Amino acid sequence: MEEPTFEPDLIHSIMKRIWTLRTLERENVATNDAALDSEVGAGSSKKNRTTSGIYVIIILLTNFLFANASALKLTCELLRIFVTEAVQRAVAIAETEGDGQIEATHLESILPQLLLDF
Amino acid sequence: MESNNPYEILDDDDGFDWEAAAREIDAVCQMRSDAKTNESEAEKVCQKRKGKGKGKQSTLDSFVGIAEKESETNPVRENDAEESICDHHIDNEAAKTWIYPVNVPLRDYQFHIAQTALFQNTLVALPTGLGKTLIAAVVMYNYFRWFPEGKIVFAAPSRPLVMQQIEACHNIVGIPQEWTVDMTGQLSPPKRARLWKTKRVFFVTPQVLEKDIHSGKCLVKYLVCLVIDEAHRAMGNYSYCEAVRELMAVPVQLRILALTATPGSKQQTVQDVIDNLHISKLEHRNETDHDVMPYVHDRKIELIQVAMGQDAVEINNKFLEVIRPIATKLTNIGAINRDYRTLSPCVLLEMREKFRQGQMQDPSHNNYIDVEGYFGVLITLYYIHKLLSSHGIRPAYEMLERKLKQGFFAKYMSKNEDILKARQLMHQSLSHGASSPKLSKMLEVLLEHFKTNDPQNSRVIIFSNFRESVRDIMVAIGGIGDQIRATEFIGQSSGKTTKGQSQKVQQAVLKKFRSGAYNVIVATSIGEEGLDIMEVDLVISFDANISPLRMIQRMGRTGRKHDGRVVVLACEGAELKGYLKKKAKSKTITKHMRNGGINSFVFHPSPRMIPHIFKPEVQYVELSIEKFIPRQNNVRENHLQTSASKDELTLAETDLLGKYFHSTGENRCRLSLIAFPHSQTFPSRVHKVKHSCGTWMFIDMMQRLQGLAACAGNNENSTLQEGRCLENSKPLVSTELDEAKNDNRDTMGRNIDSENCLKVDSCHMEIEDFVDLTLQDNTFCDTGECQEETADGDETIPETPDAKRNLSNEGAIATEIANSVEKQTSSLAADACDNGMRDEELSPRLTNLIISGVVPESPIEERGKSRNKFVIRGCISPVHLQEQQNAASLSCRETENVIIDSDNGKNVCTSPVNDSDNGKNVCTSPVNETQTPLLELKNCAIRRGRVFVSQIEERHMHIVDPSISEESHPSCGEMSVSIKPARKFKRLRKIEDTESNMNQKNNNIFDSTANFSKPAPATNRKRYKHGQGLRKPANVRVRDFIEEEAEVSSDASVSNDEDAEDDNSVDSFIDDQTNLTAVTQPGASRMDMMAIYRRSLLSQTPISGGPKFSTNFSPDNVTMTANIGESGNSSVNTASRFQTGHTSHSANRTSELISTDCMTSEAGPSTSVPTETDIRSRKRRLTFLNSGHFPSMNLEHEFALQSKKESVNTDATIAVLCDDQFLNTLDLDELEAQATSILKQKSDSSNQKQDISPPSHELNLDIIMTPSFDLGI
Repeated sequence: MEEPTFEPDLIHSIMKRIWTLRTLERENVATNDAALDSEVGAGSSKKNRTTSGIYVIIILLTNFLFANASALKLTCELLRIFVTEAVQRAVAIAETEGDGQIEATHLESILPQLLLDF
Repeated sequence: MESNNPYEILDDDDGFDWEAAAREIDAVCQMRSDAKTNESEAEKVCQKRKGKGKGKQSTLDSFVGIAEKESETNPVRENDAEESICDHHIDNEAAKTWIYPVNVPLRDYQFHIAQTALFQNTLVALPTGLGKTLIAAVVMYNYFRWFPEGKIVFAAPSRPLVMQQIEACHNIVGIPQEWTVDMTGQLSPPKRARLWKTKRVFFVTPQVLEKDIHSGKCLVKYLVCLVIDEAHRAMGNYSYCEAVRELMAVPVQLRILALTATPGSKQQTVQDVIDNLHISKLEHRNETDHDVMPYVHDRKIELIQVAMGQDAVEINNKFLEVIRPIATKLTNIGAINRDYRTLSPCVLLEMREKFRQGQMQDPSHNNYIDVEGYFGVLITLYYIHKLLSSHGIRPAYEMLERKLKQGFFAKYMSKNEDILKARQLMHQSLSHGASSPKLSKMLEVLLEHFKTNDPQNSRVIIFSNFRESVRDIMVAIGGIGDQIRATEFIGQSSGKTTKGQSQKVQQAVLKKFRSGAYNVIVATSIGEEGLDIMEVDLVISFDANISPLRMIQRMGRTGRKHDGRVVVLACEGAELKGYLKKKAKSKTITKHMRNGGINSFVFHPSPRMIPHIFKPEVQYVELSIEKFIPRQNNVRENHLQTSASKDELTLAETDLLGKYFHSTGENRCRLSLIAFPHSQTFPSRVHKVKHSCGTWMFIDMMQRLQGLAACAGNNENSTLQEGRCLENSKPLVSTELDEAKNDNRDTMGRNIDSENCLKVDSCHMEIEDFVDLTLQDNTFCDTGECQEETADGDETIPETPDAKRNLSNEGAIATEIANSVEKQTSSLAADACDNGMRDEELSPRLTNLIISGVVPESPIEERGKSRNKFVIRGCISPVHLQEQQNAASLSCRETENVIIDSDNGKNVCTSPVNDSDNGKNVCTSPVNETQTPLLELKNCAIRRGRVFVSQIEERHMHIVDPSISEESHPSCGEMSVSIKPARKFKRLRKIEDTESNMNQKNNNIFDSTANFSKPAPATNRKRYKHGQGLRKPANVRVRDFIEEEAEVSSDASVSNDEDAEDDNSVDSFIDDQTNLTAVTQPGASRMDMMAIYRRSLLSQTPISGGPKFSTNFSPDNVTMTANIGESGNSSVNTASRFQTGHTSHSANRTSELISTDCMTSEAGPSTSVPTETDIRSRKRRLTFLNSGHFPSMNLEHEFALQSKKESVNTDATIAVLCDDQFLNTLDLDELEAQATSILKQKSDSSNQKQDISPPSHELNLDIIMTPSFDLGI
């Protein structure tokens, strides 16, 4: 039995929400089209770099408005790994500090490196 | 065979040669089976047939042989048939029987029809509700059994029917659901293609079947059975016909079973169906047939004649008035030859067709367009007329209104007074609310029905041909009362005025109808066919003038399981006449179909499918049928439900959510990325995802930032603290060495312990990383393990203070400064003693320990710390070198470990950036307090080491590249340097641990020593290699690794020599120190050093460095022999003390001193004894120079050294290089200033040392050390 992971439907709905918010935002800020365009340009140039991990999801969320089934599946898996890694690292910190519970502070102490690792 | 009868009939027909032949074959087989045993024969044939279908052939041959009287054409035909038959693999065992399920009571007619249908293409004409589906299911199931690879298709004309039939078939014979699938146009073609391959029983719509056969997705070759439901549709170009035509063109042998309740209303149509579907046999049953009678429920058909209403008659007359002139015109032309009152739209259509054909042949008529127009108008008028009579005024009126708004009819008729009058009449009658007599009659019947029947359980269907009238009926019923709950049931297409019902709505309607939410359905023709609309008590046919076929279907909705009643409402006049006429027609067709229709229809031959040797016997089986699970939709629903339940949040979870994701945003927890900058200076523990290079860069950055920030304020404090500690320890040592040391050690140990965890982690991390980076040797893994063990050792350190103390007492000498180091070493030693295995591990442990030990020292001096670290690492390596002599066969692992260590050291040393990092680390560490800094330092070192390792590797790889080589040189130099100090430390440790055994480094007994020695060789080799590599690239840059390797080997040999010397060197170190102190030249030498340093910086002349080294080496060698480990210890101690005691500058100097010591020691082995102090000074100079110098300088020095070519020299040079690197990072001016101050301090310390050193005893040394510390402070 494979490990429990996120429901693709859930992830998809979340992504859809973000997309809709983004499009709304874009419509509202239609005057700033130029700025947006430049942003897009920067994004695409970044894309040329080898991208991995969470950055892919960010690209997915910012540069696209859809995701097919496999992309969703991958996203779910990536998020699962990310979350488990975050929790495990936070647990390690919490344990060293003798806490039986993960607090936001624990997460904060591992967050920068975690984000860089993904 | 029961099927013999039809064959006889067909016998005379030439077209049925095959059938005759088959019969003959049967006969032959029968004869044979009489003679032999049927089974054996069958088996034989089977075997043969398996081979290549020859089985059949053999029977044929035999048949031909025996029955030569047969026509000559037979064999040929049979061969053809044979081949095709053998296309399908047959399960011989299964083919001996055929299954008839007895889950439901057996009905004779079903059994017989099924039996027939198994062996011939059969058209089953059976009144509705008599179980056609069961016949189909039985046939399908047996073909499913007989042909393990065969595919079976059941085609039904609509999606609801498909769904209904798949379930019905499953419930009858229970074909495993994993083999069945329903496919409609909703499934995408690729999906269908996949299903065609994987499944065996398909329930499809004819359109899908046709398309897939056409596109080749359907694997026609595997088809064995095709069941066609509602086969009366197989007319013209309907998909059924196309599909069968394609199949026959392939050609493919398959069984076709056609099912219908109404094969056709005319003989010709039935014949068409038979032709289109290649039917060989018609099985027709009627309600009146004797074997069907018992199962037919009484179905009372009432014909209710309804007089047309007054209004309707009037309007009708008006219409006839409108029609008459037009009809007359057409009659004059000759297009119509009948009385206009008997005309109907259908007849008119036919006439128009005829007229058009005539027109084609004789286009002379110039009023053709007019005639066409008349026809159109007439057809419309008659249509409205028909509507008027059969459905009432409203539908007719609406139709008229619609027609008057558009098209030719509007143009032509809008000015016709009669039509306008008729329209007005219709409008009036409608506005009066007068309902048509049919409607009122229907309501009457309905009310009457529900009076006698329970409205809850009774169901009624009202059929009407037009949606408009359906709406009328609905309106009419709506006024009756709540006893009747009616709904409409119409098709999908959305008309202009009404909206269609989607299939979902239809399903919902049927569901509610079954459950009783509705008890009346008003349906159009969609409800007539096939749909198993549960048991209905009353069927009302609102219009009578429909095809008998449809009337039968309508009637078939009732009387299925119990008695039913059919009411046909017919309007007097045309409608009634039409109804009666059609009823008579359907009777004649049934006559035609009597006796299997043999006399009336022409049939087609069909393959038997099962070879004639098989005579399947019927087997009555009660099949256990699993519950039918509807595909997809329901499954998905269930899934969603479960997941939904899983997603329910507990209270605690919602609280958490509320805490972190408060909707207002006020309490929102925003994770900060900058909250814990300190925790970013070392890599966090990872779970499965390793740190990325970006993370390492980030950590480095953080270390730098924090180190710089912290250095300024904290360094001094930390150093002061350390100094105090040192002071304390020193006095204690001098006076009460044991106690003081113990205290110090304890504190240190505790600190270390607290830090140990972190360190260990970091060490592990580093080690692992190194291993990964190196990858080259499996042994690296071992090293990693060793490191882990070392971590363990660190942990044990707190426990082993006693031993340490003892050791320290004995060795009390140098341990003060490097208490932690000593502790570690002691622990290591203990560990080594404990486990031989650990020996190997010891080296890493040692390194770790050293690191930890160094850390305390390092905090004091940023640069010095880094150096110390290097030194520590180096120490390990030297130890190994020494031990090489002892154990030439030292394990490669150890050597590798050493190498790793050296790599670490190298890494640290190599890049100036790294150096700076080290400095930073050092700075940070002081801030945290010495202990923590130590850990951090370790971490940093580890990190650096990783980075460096990679760099080193690259360098090695790219030795050819000049730039790389240069870089590698420094790194190598660093490596060597580090190694050298390590040696010293090791020696010290060894001395401490073994005391008397110091000299006996050769003795393997001492695990610690052995360990050290083992790793040392490796380190030496590595160093050599590195040095060589560096040198070569620097020198030639083009030389090959091979050469380097050779050099390495030579170096190794040299190192062996050196090992012997190493002991000496250790001694020499001590001696050097003593010498230095004794010589009291330090100050001058340092001054000289500075001068040289500056010169070197300015001139960058390698020569100066080279000669110095050479000289140094020679003296070292001489001295080495003389000096003992004790002295070495003292020297080391002093060095460490100096470092700790001194401020950062002093620390640097001390480190330099250490390095110089190392250099001297190394140099010593090389040869001459000359003044060690000089050597040291030179070394120092060199180091300074190096630091000041650029890599090139280092290289030059190295080259010079290389030219001298002593491995030791190389090491020394390397050390120098390392120093250089460190120095490079530092500002030259500062360095110089520092150097000067250091020199002064050193001179002081050296003087002190010298004073004390003369005794050259451990205690003395210790004492000496203490003063030095004091001085430093």
